[in-house]
Amino acid sequence: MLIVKKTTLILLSILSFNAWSFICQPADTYGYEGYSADTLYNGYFRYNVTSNNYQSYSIVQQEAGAVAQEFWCLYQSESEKTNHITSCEQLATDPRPVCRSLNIGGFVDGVTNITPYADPLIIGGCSDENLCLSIPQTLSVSVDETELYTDSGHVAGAFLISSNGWVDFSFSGTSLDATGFEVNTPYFYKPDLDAQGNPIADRYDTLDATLGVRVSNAELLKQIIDTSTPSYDSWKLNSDVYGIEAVQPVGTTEDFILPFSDSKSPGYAIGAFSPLANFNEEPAQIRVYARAAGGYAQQSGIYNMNIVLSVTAHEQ
Amino acid sequence: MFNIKFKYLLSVGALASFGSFADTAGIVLKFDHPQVMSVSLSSSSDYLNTYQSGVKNTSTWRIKSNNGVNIGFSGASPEGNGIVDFPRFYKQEVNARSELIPSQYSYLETTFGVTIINYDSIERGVTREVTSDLWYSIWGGGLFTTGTPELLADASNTLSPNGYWGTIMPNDQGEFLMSLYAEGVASANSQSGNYTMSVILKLTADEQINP
Repeated sequence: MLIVKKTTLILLSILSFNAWSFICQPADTYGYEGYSADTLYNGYFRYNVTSNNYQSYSIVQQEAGAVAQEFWCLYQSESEKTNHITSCEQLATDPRPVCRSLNIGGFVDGVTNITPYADPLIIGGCSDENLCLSIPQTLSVSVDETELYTDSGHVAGAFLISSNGWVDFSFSGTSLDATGFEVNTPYFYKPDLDAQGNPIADRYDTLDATLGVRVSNAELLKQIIDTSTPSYDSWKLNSDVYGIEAVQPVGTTEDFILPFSDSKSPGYAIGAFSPLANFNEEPAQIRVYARAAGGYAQQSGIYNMNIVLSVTAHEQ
Repeated sequence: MFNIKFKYLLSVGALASFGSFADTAGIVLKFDHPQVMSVSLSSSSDYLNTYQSGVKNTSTWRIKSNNGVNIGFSGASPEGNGIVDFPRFYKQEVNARSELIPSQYSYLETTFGVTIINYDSIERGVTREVTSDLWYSIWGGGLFTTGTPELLADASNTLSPNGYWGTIMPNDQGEFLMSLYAEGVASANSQSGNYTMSVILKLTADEQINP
């Protein structure tokens, strides 16, 4: 009888991430799912040399065969590269070293790629146990109604994300401009009222707003890969000035809605995350903070900002 | 026998899948932008009408607010041993020795007019057009001052400036101009000398709230 407990699986996952030193990504050679040679050299190898202190790479394959899938592996030292290659087989029929053990991971072009979401249980345990257990990734996103609040400085809203894997996220939003046209940028807006309290057709006021984001109760992929940076859990909350708990939103609405592939976006700054594994299975939380200001030209009253969170899971 | 104690497997919902998939949720952040208000005297001038033996004072205020306001006036003037709660030009009479005579006052016949201009809308009253995007409204004849002091100061009266206009919504830049015209005309029994009058402008926020 084989009994697999979830807590053990999650622990194995975390330990696997922390234990990695060299990292590899698949190539699309011979038609396999993976990255092009150009992406792997410029967006993977050169990016990680510049950003994460990697120094060398080698191209290997995981299975024997003349047309087996190739992997680009990055190393933080020449000795590490030598150790890895030495541990691999070099068969006369194979163009590359056959390395049975590969650690898939790392950023491609600075963006979390699909492979870090691979479940270590599948990669590491399948062949050894002669048993393949495929656990589908789950994902649900909801609004934490209890977290909506306002005070004199800012307003905030919160989302809850439940998943058993790594996810990326981005925001979008809509608002109405001064003449009532819908724009794909979230601003605080309200219809103008006349002296009798009736809305005036095609006339709206908007407020200048700044935004900030914090992810909590989650494991952050960037922190696993780069432990030297104290926190990746926030975007534009002035944490670098006033500490990791700071709540001073300074991000622009235009940057707020950029896709997570853009370095100015919240999704890029914070990176992929996974809800913390704990006994209560509490969801991760994304809080959005906003600060707004107006003057005489902005009619007083309640202004609304529509924000939509999109969370993407990449099951391997 | 293969037994998996992993309740996640049992709770896998519709969004459990392989490959890339996404879920979304939306929130509406609400920000309460407060009403602000200020008033400043833009200009004030006197015109002496020697033909009618009178004076006309014109005072213009720049009123700024980002929502509706009510305007009202108050003032007081002495009468006998007491004080009445409306403004008018008065002076304490003097005797032949230039001594003030207790409880004896002389008055100018006082009338008022009010004009508001460059606002967005008014709750009541008649709006007149200067140009297609600039309009004004008058109370008490405006420059021609037909309003009585009693009406000027009685905010509860529907014929007062407050009663006539109700809520005034400033323009899109959050301001409008208001001019008060006060005219005093001497009669044959008005003692010569310096007449004075004090009028207080009261500005009250009347915020219009979105439904």
